[in-house]
Amino acid sequence: MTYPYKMVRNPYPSNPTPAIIDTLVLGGNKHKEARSAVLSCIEELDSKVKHNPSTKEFRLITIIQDVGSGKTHLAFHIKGLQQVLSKTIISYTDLALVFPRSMQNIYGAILRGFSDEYLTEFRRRLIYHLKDRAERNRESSKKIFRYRFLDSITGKKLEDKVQEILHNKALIADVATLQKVLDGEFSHAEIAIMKLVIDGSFTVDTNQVNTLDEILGYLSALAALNLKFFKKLTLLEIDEFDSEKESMGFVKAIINAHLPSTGLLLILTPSSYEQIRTVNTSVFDRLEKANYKIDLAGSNTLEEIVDIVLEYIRYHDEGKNFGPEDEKDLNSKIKAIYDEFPDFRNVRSMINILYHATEDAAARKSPVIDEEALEETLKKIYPGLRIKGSIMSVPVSDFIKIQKGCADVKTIESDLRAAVRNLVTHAKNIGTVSSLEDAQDNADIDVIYSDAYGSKVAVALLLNKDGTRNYERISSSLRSSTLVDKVVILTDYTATQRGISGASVAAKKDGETLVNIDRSKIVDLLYFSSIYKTNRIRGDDLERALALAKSIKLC
Amino acid sequence: MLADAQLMNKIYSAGQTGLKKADLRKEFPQAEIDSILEKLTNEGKIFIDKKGTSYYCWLKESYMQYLLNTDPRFRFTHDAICSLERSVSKNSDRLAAALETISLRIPDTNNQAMDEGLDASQADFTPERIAIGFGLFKEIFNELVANFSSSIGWVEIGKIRFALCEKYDLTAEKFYEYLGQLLERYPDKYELSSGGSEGLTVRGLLHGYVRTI
Repeated sequence: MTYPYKMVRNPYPSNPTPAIIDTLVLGGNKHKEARSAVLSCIEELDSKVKHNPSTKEFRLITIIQDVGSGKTHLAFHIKGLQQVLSKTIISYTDLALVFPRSMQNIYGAILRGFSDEYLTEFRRRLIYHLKDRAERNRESSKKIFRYRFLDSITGKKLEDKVQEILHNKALIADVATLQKVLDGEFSHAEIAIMKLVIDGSFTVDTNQVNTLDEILGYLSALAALNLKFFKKLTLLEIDEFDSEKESMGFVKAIINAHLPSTGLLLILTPSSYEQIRTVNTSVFDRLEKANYKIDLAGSNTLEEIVDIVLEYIRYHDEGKNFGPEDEKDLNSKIKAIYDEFPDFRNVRSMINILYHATEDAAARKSPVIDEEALEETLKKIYPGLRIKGSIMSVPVSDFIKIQKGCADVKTIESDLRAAVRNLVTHAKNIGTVSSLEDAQDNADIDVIYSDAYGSKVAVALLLNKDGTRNYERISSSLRSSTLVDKVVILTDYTATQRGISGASVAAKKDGETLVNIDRSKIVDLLYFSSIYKTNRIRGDDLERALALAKSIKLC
Repeated sequence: MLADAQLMNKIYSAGQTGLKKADLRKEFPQAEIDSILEKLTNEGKIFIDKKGTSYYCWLKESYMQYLLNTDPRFRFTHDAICSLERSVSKNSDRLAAALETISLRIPDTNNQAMDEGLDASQADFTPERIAIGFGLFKEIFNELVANFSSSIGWVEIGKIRFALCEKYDLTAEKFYEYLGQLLERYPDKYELSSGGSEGLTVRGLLHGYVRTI
């Protein structure tokens, strides 16, 4: 299947929360600034540690923003960055998956947060380090690799033993033996970690630890080993950090312990941050003093969401088929959804809509993500959704098209004038008003009709300051006219904006009715006009059109 | 029988030149034409005036245009009236706009006193008891967000609501009505976050935190 803009796959993720594969793409200025802040922290810590490896350098980074704003996406993206991978060993922990929240379980989750590739490579490096050590001292090799007399007479070499251990066919010596052999080179905790890693039980036996002190010892040891064997920092990413007692105690201990060459990145919501402030001042104080407090303020603004959404396509647009015109077009569609549906002013929601719309467009072989795709998506995944304030029940696809056309004031003015004439004609056809007159000889009047009481009513449309008409001129011209009894002026900007009196809905003065037609009424009028001209008025549309006419004082 | 409409359509077709009464008589030889013309004149629907040596008929609008084009004194008077009307209208508009601005700043003490079943003169005029309009609400709201915000800028909406309603005697319903309007009008100036004990529901989630961007 070919996707819009000739893409070979749907660029948008479908998971409600991001998966690693989805996070290669990072759009949005705020998110990019946040990435830069994390990179800068890593750079700074790295330079400190390189300069003095024995120093206990620790950094705390917090990312605080609402759900669905892209915090986890950012954490995953950082985890996959080559710039970061070349300097750090990363563990990602989602505390939402840790239950019950005992310290052993949190510790186990942190260990399981390291990648399998890292653990395999760590194990290999440790075994070869021990082999080097053993080769320098024949006696120790026997102890570490359990190399026995029988092995020597059967011609088995030390490398064979190494291979057996690498392929899990043999075990190295116990911790006590390793401690004796490695004498002073590694701490007890480091040796315990080495043993667990080599035995492949690194992430399994976490319930064996009994105290928080022990856990901190192991995490420190792990960070030290990462620095020794990889020359890299350790970065612990903890997502969904909240005010749960065990989590707060655990994190406070990590911060207090100053784990060497380690960065702790905490991801939480403003709500959790506030709760922590209330229930644990001590932890809150530590969070307040974070080395980097990453602010994703404005991550749900239109500009940010548009950039994020477009970045997915730019990233997957291998054939460079997504041109500036396509970008502009998609931008206006996203804006229409963003403006009209406050519920979708959120990165996660918008990505979800775009995922489904892309699938729909691909199924219909549409070369672009079109209005129909978006309408079908909204209908399917958000049934019952209505355009806010619409009397005509404008379908989303028509709404997006109309919104797009609203940018040109000159076009919209002539279309709206035609729409007003069409609506009055419709009212006349169904007998609500009578004796319609063409007012083409008066440039300030759009239509004249006689209402149910026989009064002649002139209707004039007055658009904002960029329009071609002027309120004073219309008002003066129509008031001095002896031809009509009443005047209805439809305007799209409020009285205050015009610098004249009060109410924004409908103001009456001396035979003149001033009606404010807001954006939803403009869309309703334009939609009515389009279905009227193309004879697409069906069923309830007749009633709705009449209600629309009444709502703007046209009958 | 000759209809009024027939006659008026004929006069209308002559526009601002007008239709000679004699020509009208020729076209409509019926006896009642004079009485119909008189009736229409009395009703103010048509105007009959002398042009040169003959009498002509006009509809209201056309007659006015005729006078504007041919009678300088009439045109002068008409322009003067229009100018006066514009001036009065402009000043009354300015006055109304000024009143609207003032009304945003001045407490609605009379209404408040009436709500409380008191005479306006007996009302408590201390600033703590004033009702506020949207403009003032926005100002105070921004001030409270700035005052209450933590280092990361977020504030519990409930905290602001409590402070605002306590000081200004604003109901919770009105507070959330104004807050809804504020967010709708300035979506790029404010940000909501989920959680908290009270707030606005977005995507089915209670959003009880707010910050300015």
